[in-house]
Amino acid sequence: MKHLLVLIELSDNRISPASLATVAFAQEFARATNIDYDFLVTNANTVPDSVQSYGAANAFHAAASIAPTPEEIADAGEQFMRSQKDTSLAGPATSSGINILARVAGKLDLPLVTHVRSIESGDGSPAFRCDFARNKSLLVRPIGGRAVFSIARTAFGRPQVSVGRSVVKSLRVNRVQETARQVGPDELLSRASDLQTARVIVAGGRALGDGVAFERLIGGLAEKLGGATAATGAAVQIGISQSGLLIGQTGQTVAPDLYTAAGLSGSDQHTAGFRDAKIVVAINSNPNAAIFRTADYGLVADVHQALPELIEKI
Amino acid sequence: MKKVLPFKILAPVAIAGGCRETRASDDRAVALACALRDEIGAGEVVAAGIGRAAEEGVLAALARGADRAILIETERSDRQAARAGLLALYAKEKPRLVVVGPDPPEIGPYVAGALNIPQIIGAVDIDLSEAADTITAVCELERRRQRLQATLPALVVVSDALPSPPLLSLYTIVDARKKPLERVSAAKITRLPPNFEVLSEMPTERRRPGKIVGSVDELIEALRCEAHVI
Repeated sequence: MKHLLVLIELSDNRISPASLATVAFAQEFARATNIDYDFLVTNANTVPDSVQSYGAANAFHAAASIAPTPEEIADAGEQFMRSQKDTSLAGPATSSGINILARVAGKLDLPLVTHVRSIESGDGSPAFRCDFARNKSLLVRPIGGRAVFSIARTAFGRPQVSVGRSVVKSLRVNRVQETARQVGPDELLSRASDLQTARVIVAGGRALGDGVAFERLIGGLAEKLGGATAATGAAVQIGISQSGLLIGQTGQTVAPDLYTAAGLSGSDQHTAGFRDAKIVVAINSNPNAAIFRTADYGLVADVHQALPELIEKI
Repeated sequence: MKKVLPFKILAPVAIAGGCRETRASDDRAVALACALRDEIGAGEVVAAGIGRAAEEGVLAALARGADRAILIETERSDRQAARAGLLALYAKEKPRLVVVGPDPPEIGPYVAGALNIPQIIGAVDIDLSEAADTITAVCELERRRQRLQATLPALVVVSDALPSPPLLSLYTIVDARKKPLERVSAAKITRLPPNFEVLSEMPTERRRPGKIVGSVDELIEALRCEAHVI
């Protein structure tokens, strides 16, 4: 591996928190193996100033009049990697990141190393520690010189700002046939603040019972703490919360200072989503619930009694 | 009823190594594929498994409502083998739609990329156009709900927000064994040089249990004075 192309998602014209972890990965990878890296901004047609000072030689943006679809960005990445035979690809392990990264890996038949948490340089070529399935972690080494990496958003810390600036270039992104297109407007699924940046998250599960109680108790406590609302898969499936709030293996991964898990059992599927939270509080009426094994503080109580009291007293 | 004979839907199952955890995810994909088939009133759902580890998954898909199944027999159960197997099946069966489960999330876009067809991720509802050449889906992804449209053939990844399909009766499971299950041997796939090696494997580091507090007051006190998070 001699070169790395790094997918960058912007939020509010800055590098998104998840992409910052990917940049930090690129920097560590560059130090370990002496590679160069370039950026490719995936969701904007410009490269803001703030993106240019993280040590990338080049910063590419799509030369397209309207925002490219994941298929079109993947197509551009594929073209780039077909012409640059030593280039690997990395990006954030977010839904939108994975939708591009995995597509490129599938197109080019490249090893896809998901949820990378650390780089371990042993003998010769580097190996990567990554999350696999629910509760397994693997140390893997791609064969064949290059790979596609998705980077766990809570790994690698903050990237370093460099003195030099990236050269901004536009990358031709073709309008491709093999793409799904959006019809009609977007609808925002949750009014709560962004889970990715929330310092406090209150998550509710099946035990809340109905949507009204969920909103009043989980939403109420989140509001009182100035935090965001989240949900388990079970809560989403029985229709008392929205899928946009889902935390876990198939939802979002978060790392707040305080994660309060109320009325949920604590399946591996869910707990995988907040493993890096600083403090976890569990409230559940079943003293044997698995969630108590991962919580820093546990309260054995019915959520319908404990949450109103918490909201009142905090 | 739409005049769209014959409409073939491919439902790859257990392609992430056939681990038990992905079963619920596959169930949703097969259920959505069958629901679309039943709505169209014509067509066929073909369950596809790659690797012997996928046999259980393929049988479950038949019980769930798939019309027939193909199992590519190889010892391999990695992504690369799944890719090669699906490419072969896709060329042979020429489905109009490929429906995949959401777990793990990389499998849908990976397969769509390999097949070079459009990808629709996080579908909670899908609808086929009158001419059966376009699929429109309501998708929920990253806090947004949007409608995505793609020309067929295309791949749809179902949302994990869809309710789990109901448990099956023993009768349905036994009865499904009468459905056609084609076994294809795949020495070629078994011989594929692997593109990564696993050096070691360990359980993910878990959080350690903390302490149980006796009341809401104690909890507030601990969060304020010990943990300093509120």
